[in-house]
Amino acid sequence: MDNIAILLQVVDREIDSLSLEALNKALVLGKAMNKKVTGVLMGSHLKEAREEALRLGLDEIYVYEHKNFDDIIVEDIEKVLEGFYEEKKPEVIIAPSNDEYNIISAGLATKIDAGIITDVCEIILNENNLLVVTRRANQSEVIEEFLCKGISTMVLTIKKTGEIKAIENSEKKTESIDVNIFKPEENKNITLLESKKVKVDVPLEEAEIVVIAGNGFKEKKDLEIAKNLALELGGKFGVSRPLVLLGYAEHKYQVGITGVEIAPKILITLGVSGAMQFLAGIEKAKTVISVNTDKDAPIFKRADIGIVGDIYEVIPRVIELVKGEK
Amino acid sequence: MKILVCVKPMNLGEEVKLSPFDLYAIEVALKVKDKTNGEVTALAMGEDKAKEIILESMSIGVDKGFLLNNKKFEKSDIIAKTKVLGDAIKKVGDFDLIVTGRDLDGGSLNVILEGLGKELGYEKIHNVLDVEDIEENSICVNRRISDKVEKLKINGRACISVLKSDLMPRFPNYLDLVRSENYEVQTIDLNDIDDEKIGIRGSKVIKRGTYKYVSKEKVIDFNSLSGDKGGEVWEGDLEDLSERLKEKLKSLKAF
Repeated sequence: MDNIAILLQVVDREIDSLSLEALNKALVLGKAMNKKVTGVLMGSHLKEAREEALRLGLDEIYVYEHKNFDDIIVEDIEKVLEGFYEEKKPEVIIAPSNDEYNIISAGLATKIDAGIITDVCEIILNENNLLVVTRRANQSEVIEEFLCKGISTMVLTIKKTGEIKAIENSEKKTESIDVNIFKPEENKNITLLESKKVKVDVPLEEAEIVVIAGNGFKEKKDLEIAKNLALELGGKFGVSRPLVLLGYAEHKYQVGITGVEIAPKILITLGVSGAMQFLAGIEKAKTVISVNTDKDAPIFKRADIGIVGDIYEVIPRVIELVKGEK
Repeated sequence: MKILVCVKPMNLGEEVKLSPFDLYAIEVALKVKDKTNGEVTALAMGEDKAKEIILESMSIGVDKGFLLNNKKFEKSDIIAKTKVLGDAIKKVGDFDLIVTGRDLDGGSLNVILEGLGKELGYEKIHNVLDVEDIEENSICVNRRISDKVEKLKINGRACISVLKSDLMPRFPNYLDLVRSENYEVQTIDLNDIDDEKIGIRGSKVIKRGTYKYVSKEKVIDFNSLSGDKGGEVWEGDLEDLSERLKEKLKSLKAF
């Protein structure tokens, strides 16, 4: 029981952003409890994710790489982790809270007779070295607070808040352990007949790519330009406050402190000047690209890339170029 | 097939109703019943007045139902509660398929389903949208995990959780309504349950309280917000800017 485990989900060969949030909590807890933090990667192609994981400030990573991962159902993945648990006996196992990892965590906790709390917002170590955990279920109006009795391993799944502190490129030396002998078992009672990706309508606040239209749009119908770019990139469309005041868009599309606060990986602002209340709403955005004709617009101070150009010309052309490469 | 559907009472003032989510679970159970000449039993956890939702389930087509009185294990954590539920199911009967609706939040339901699977030795499949190709010993389900919809064939006994979907839950019908009116719901007490297994003593986690969620008052640091982040500025002609932006979006994996 000298370690904390963090299960890191790999999506499109990268460690998913929610897993990085969960990792933050694991590292903070590791420090408070003076325990090693062990990362766990599972999947069929882990080369890139492994390299990424080595820079995250973990003490060690366990890598379970096997081509069978693409064909097994999520309910069977807990079997992979049983061996890991037997070897490491972690005091706390932390995972992201989403469909996959809530199922994996629930299965694992059940199997190893651990305690479990899902959708965790906060983990605190109290004066008796016991964990105090708060959770808030999706859209729930209440927060629940729990005290862990400290009599067994605790499994905690972490809810998305969008707060990722920079932990990349840690200098800490991370040991990498491959678990090669492992082969995920096939389940004889369940046959996977078909699997297809579907479009899930994510809300603006959870979107990974967001395109925002601002004051630079002269007419309501011109917003199609921004909407088309969002569509082309599989992202979401939003507006700044002036466009809502003009009646060009409903309030639910408004980004800023008086509207929706967003935290996308990529944010593209088009003709947005960058008022303070807007900047506060995009504080957590990762890469910000802004197009504006006015070189002195405040948004350019916030943007990672400020493009001095006319949205009416640049964006339709970019859409053409993107289409041409697809 | 013998099917059990777990239902949860929803308090609406004085009245107790089936949760709308449970209607989808009942619909899935009834679809399997129709195809296999089966029988559906409902099990509700709650106080005495939760018997009402058993009768409501029966008015839609469920054959019979039981109430599990939960007074004794109210303070148990979710894993201990699931063990009690597993014990209760064993007392109620021997089932081929166990269906739960998604009245609880997703994470808690995942724990319950995994726990039931373990207690009863059944396969478990989460997040089912619909059932098809129903046969005496197997069913196919469509289920959604994040952005994937999978079609799975289940052989043998299983517990499944059902999401709200495009299915159209059926309405009460006259014959079943009349039948349910005279039905006496049996209560399962589980008085023989080991006290060490329930309540605070039987739990690994103790609930200390619930609070109303208030979003945190945001402190805005205007200086930091308006500060220069030192990003790049691109100037140039249309073609050059468009090409660079396209390349940038590509390198960021935006398409």
